Amino acid sequence: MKTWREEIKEQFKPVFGPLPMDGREAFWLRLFFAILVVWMMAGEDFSNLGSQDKPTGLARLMDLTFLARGNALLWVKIGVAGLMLPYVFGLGLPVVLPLVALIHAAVFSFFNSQGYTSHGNQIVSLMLVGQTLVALFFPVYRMVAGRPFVPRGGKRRESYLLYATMIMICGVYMTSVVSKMRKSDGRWLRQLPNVAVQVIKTHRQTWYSNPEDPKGVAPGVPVPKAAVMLENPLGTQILLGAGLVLEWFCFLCLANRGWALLVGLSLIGMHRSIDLIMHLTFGLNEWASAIFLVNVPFWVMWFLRRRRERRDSGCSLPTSR
Amino acid sequence: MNGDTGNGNGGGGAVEALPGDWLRGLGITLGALVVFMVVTQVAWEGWYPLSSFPMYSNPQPWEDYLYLTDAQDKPLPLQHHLGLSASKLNKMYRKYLKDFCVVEKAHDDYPGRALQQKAVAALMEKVRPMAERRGRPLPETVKVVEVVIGRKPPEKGKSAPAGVALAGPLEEVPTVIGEDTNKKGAAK
Repeated sequence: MKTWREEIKEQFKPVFGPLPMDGREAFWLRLFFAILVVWMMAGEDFSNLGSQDKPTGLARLMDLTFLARGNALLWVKIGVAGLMLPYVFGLGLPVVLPLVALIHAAVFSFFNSQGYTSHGNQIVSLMLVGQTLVALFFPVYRMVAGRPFVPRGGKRRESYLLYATMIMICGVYMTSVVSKMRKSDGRWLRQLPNVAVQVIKTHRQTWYSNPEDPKGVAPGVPVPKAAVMLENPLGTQILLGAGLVLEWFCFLCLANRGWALLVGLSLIGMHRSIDLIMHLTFGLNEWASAIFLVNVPFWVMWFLRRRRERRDSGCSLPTSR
Repeated sequence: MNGDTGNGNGGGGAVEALPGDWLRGLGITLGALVVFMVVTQVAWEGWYPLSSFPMYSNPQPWEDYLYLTDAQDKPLPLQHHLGLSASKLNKMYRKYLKDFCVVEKAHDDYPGRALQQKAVAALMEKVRPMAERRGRPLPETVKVVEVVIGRKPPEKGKSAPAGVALAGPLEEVPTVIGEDTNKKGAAK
C-alpha cells in the first residue's frame, strides 16, 4: 500500500496529454461549465444597443442587431439553457456543442461590435470552440477511418474535452504574454511602475461610471495604491512580473492533475490580486481555472477513493499520535 | 451519460508515462499552443473570439480617459444613462478616433482638435440613442471631457521613453474636447 506522500507524488508525474477520467468527474465538470455559460448569458442586457458599427467576428458576416430587438436575447438565453441540458449528461455533443459555440460567439461578437472590446467573455467562447473541435473529431474520425476512435488507457471522450479546454485556457494567458513583449518591444517589465497611472485611471473610471460605487475614487482624491506603486517601483516589478512568469508557464498545468491544481490556484490568486489593486475583475477566467484546472470533483473523489482503499486494506489516516 | 471508465484504476488520473511519451505529449501540446498564439496574434480583435489579449501590454507614463458632463459641468453617471462603464465609453471614443486617424494619417496619441471633435460627434451619435433606449436620455447639452493622467511625452517623441519610472504625485489634467447639443430637443 502506497503512502499518502507517494499517492500525491503520483499525481505530479508528467503526462502532457489527456488523462483517464471517471464518469462522475466528467459529469460534474460539464455541469459546472454549463452553469457558467448559462449564468454569463443570463446577465447580458442589450436593450441599450441598436447597431454594430464596429463589427467583429460573426458580426462581420451577418447583421446581429436582431439580438437587441424585442425578446430575441431572452429566447437565445432560453435556447442556450435548453441546449446545455443534454450537454450536462454528455448527450448529442457533436450537435449541441457547435450550436452553443456558434450562439455564444454570435452574442458576444455583437456585444463587442460597439467600438469596445470586452476580453472577459472570450475565454468562454474559446473553451466552447475547443470542446466543439473534440466533439466533432469523434464522428469525423468514424466517417474517415470507417471505425470509431476508441480512447485507450482509461481515457474517454471527456478526457480529450478537458485537455482541449485546458489548452484554450493556457493559450489565452500565453498569448497575452506574447502581446506584452511585442507591444512594449520587450520593455514590459521595465515599464511596469507606469501601471500606477492605470491604477488611478481604473479608480477614476469606476467613479465616473457610478459615483455611488464604493470602489471608485472621486477626482481630486488620492489613490493610495497608486502612490504605493510609485514609491516602490521594484516591488511593483516583482509583484506584477511574477504574474507574467505564471502566465507564460501556465502550460505546466497540462502536465498532470497536480500541476493543474497548483497553476489553477495561482491564476485565481493572480486575478484576485489584480482585482484588489486595480479593480479589474476577470471573473470568467477565475471560474474557468476553478472548474477545469483546480477541478474540485477530481480531488474530492480521489481523496475519498484512496481513503476507502486504505480503510479496506487495514491502513488508516495518519493521526496526531 | 456515460458510466464508469472501466479502466481498473477508478479514474485516479495518474498514469504511467514513459519519458518518450510525455516528451512527445509536451511537443504536441506546445505545438498546439504555438499555433494558437500565431493565429491570435495575426487575427486578434477583428475576429471574435480570437484576440491577442493586449490588456496592459505597454504601460506608458500617461493614460487618458473620458467622462461626460451636463452644461453646468456636473459629471453624468454613465452606467445609469448609458448602461456602459467609463472604460467602455473611452474605448468607443478611441476606436472612432483611431479610425479617423487612419484615414487622415494622423497619430492617434496626437490627433489634433479637429479629429477629436469628429470622434466626439461620432461617439455622441452612438451613445445618445443608447440612453434613450434605456429611458434615461442625456441632457440637451453634453460636454465630453478628456483627462490625461501622468506625463505625456511631446508629440515629436510619439511614444514614451523606455523604462520610464514615475515618481511623485501624478498630474491629472481635464480638457473639454467637445460639446454636443441634442438636435432633437432637450431631455428633462
